[in-house]
Amino acid sequence: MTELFAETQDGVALAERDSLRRLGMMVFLASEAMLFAGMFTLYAAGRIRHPQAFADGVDHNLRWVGTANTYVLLTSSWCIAMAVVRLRSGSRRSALLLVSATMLLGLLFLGLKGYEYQWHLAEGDGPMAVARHDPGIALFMGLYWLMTGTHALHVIAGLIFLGYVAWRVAYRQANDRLLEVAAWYWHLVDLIWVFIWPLFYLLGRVSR
Amino acid sequence: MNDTLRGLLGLPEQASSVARDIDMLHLFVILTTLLGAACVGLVALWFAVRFRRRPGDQLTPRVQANPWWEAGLIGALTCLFVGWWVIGYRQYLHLQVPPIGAYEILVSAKQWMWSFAYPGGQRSLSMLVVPVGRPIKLVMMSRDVIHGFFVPAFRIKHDVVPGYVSVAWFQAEYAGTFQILCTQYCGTSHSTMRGEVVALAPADFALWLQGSRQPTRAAEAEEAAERQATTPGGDRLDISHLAIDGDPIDRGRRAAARHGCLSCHTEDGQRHIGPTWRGLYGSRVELADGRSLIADAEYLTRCMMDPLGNAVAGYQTVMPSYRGTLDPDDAASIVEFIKCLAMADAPAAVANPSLPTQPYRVGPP
Amino acid sequence: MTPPAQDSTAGAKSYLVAETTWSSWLMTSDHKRIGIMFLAATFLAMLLGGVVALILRIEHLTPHHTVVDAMTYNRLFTLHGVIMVWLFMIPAIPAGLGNFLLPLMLGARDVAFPRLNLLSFYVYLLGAGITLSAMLMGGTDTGWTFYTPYSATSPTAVAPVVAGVFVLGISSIMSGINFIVTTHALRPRGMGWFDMPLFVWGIYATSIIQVLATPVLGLSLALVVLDHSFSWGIFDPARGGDPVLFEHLFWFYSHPAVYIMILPAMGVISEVVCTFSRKNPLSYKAIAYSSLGIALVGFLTWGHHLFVAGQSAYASGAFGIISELVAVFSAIKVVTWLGTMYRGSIAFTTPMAYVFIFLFLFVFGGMTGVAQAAMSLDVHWHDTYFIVAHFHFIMVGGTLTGLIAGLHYWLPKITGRLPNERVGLIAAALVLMGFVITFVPQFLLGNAGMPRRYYDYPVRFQALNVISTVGSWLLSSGILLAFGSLLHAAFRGPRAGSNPWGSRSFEWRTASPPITANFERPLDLVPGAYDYSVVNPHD
Repeated sequence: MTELFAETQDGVALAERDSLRRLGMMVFLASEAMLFAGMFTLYAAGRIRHPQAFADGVDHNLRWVGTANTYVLLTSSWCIAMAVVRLRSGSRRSALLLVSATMLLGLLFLGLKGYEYQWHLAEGDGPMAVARHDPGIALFMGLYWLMTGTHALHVIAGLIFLGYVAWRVAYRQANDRLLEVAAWYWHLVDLIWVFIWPLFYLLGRVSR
Repeated sequence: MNDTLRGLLGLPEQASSVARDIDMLHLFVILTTLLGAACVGLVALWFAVRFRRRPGDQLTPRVQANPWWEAGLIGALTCLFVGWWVIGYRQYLHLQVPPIGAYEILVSAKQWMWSFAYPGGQRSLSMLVVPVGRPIKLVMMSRDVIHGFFVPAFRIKHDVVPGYVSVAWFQAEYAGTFQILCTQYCGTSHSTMRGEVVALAPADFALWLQGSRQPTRAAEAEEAAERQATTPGGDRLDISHLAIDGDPIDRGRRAAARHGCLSCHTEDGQRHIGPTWRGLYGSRVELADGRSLIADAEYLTRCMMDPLGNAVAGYQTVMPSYRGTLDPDDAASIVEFIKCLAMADAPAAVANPSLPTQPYRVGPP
Repeated sequence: MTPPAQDSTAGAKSYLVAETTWSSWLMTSDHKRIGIMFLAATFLAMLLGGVVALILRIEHLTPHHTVVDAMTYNRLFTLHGVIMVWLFMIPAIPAGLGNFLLPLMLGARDVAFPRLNLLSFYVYLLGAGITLSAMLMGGTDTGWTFYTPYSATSPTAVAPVVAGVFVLGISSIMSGINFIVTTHALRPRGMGWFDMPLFVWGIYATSIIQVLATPVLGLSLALVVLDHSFSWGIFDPARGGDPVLFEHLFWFYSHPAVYIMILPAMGVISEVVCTFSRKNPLSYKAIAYSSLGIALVGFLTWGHHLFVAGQSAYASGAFGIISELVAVFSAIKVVTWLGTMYRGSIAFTTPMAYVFIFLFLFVFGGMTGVAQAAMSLDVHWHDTYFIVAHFHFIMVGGTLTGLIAGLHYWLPKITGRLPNERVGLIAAALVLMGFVITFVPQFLLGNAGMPRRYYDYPVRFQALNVISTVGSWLLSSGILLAFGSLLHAAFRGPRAGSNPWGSRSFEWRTASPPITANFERPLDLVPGAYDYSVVNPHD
């Protein structure tokens, strides 16, 4: 991030770099939320149109992977939140440990997701197979790949961002504000997963 | 006066029952718009002259808007705009809901032509022949991409979306030919996907339906004059092109057998996997989703295309969709067949010996 | 070529000459240079889109084949739409003029994230490059609206075009984030929200839309590619999909997008009206709040593009009435601008001439929008040339005139030189005349029932088409003259002082052109940006 934070010419740096970062991240997250909101809307429309297929669709996924991933991400969110707290109270070392834990859990998430994706491919249920499914199921699986794929890309981006922030905290004496905005991003990614989980793994057949 | 303004605005003839009212709203709105834009322009120009910069002119008074004026202006404009919406929405609703008892014609849109199928099994390519003075309900389906059915002279338009049954209606006020244009870009020949509505006097229309007359050129001219089958502008109408193809009821039964309908729907009143067709047309049906409606041609067509969405209560939802496999001609014939099974003198049904004598029980296995 | 004007105060050089290497431009983080680069790029896009438009109009001289075949025509109208909307209209005023002016108007040194700003320019170039490469592959013929299922089945280069637009959307979001944060956080102490120049409100409202709506565009485009290139069938009815769902997703972005295109132009008009009437706005808050109103209520109107698509009558009615309401905000602005002239001291300069053109054309074009929201009328007009005329009245008659007005107005600030008034006024007259002759016949064509996107048309429409084409030649000569004059003046115009127009707005309280850091002394906020009732000590 640039060191050129704006000053007004009366000599007082009224625009603190930190408040710029916070505001910037908030606006960016609003934008990201709209992206996923669009996808959730698509899911809702699909579910209304194909209630049976969407209910059956959860059987195409590995429920244990989805559930484990939820716990992994929730824990990672706790870790990053604690990291911010620790950094704020001055313990740089434990903050960095917690950030590392967050990143490891993120990698674990990706590993589990990758395992599940590979299982899909082995079952002949990969992204290229979407075209061959029946109506309804095709939409469900298409949305599955789209939403979990987009989410996974955001997790990867989050890991890169966290890595960068960790480096800044370790070697450039960055303060807690930078870590805080990274944590916000991570929390949104986690929150999105918390909604993806029931929609693609839990909401099976609704009894008549 | 109406015609002068219509001419100035470039509007086509008002050939449908709704055109005149829609044009009245059009005039109201456009004239107000022109007036508004002119006023704004003139006031601006007047200000530019009246308050032009003079040498030495450096400071100006600080003028603030009177909040009452602001509120008043906002209120007045809102009332005007909403007023237009009220009138327009009522007209729009009138356009969306076909009158009961309208004459139903199935329309099929495909790249790049329109085809029409009549209840009696008649088919027509690009030419939609209709009787004057009677509401015509168009039940429209697309075979491929989105098309748009537009008849400028009638002021009607509706997109024909694949996967949907799109409904539009009109009533032609006088005889004539009126162009049909496709208004939703659908590929290379989108701009030549056209057709014509041919509105005939009811007697002529009946004759056309029977197909009993195939007028020669000479006879056509004579008959056209005799039957006053001309537009107000005096153009002739050519109705010599259509062939009628077999007894529609027979066609319908054959189509139903060919597409497997008779495996689940009986003709004789016995309850089977699907509702019986005897007495179905025109009766009230209770749907699985709670709706209750009359089984007319539109409903029956929707059932063929989207059976799950239109299922009758108390039956298993096992009917496949015929979207893409049943063409409008066959669909129309089947509807015609179902219709005749509802009449008092319906042909004797062929009992299906494989059916159990007890009606099926519906419920969990 | 004479060097650009240098700053008159001792020592500091203007941003134009402070560094002159290629890398000082290409790797700059100076918002002013980035703004100029955006203006240059969007200008080239406008020229390209304009040439395509001229070809389309020449094709329409005759009802059948004139110069191109049907498929080429279909690809060309798509290209025209894609270029004009995403490569020109959306970025030109915000990322061009907005970038240049926002920090100056706020007394700040730069935008909140200068390097993100540079990145947004390169992402724009990448997106533009992808889109234009797609054009070399023949482009696509779906129209800029990419309706499914045709876009999923068209045997054309759908995916590359869509990919290019996707990348352009990312640039748009970046600019939006930057401007929102800049507006919130970089105002000096003493400049409250209602002390800012109104152009900032325009850009701010635009940025809100860019940030919230563009992601949905990205999603829609991604889905088109998945349907087209991977046959996912999300919108394929044979696979259980719904084509109208695409229309909803697409227009959820694309209707607010038209407000992205007009709000910045309205901001320009606010500035020009006040400066050249030497007058405070009749109601500052009316303009500020109506900008927000347009941005927010504009998100609720998208279904008015689906009145004949099979949308429920209930939903259509709701969208119709909200569309009527959103127009009230624009009407408030128009009346406020008019009222600002009252008892002012009006100088009929080129920017002011464009304001008058804007007022007339935008009111007329906007009112045809109100007319369309009276829904039965839209049933007749939808997908005809009436709609084409309507949006060109707003986009060309509104946004383009706003852009040209802004370029003339701020040319001294950007380059330190004055535009040529006489040529400017002649060009304005040509633009107005050409515009009217081009687009008024198109309203009549729409009334008569000529659909849009028609390569071939019924013969009875020919006369109006010919008139429209002749108008397009006049219009393009006016536009070329205007831009040519601006370019000439940028390098050879007479030198300007720091505030040649005597404006009170804050960007004029520093040198023309400014030094790289914008202000040598802290910005003095007194008198206010619109206070023409007191003498300006800064001149």
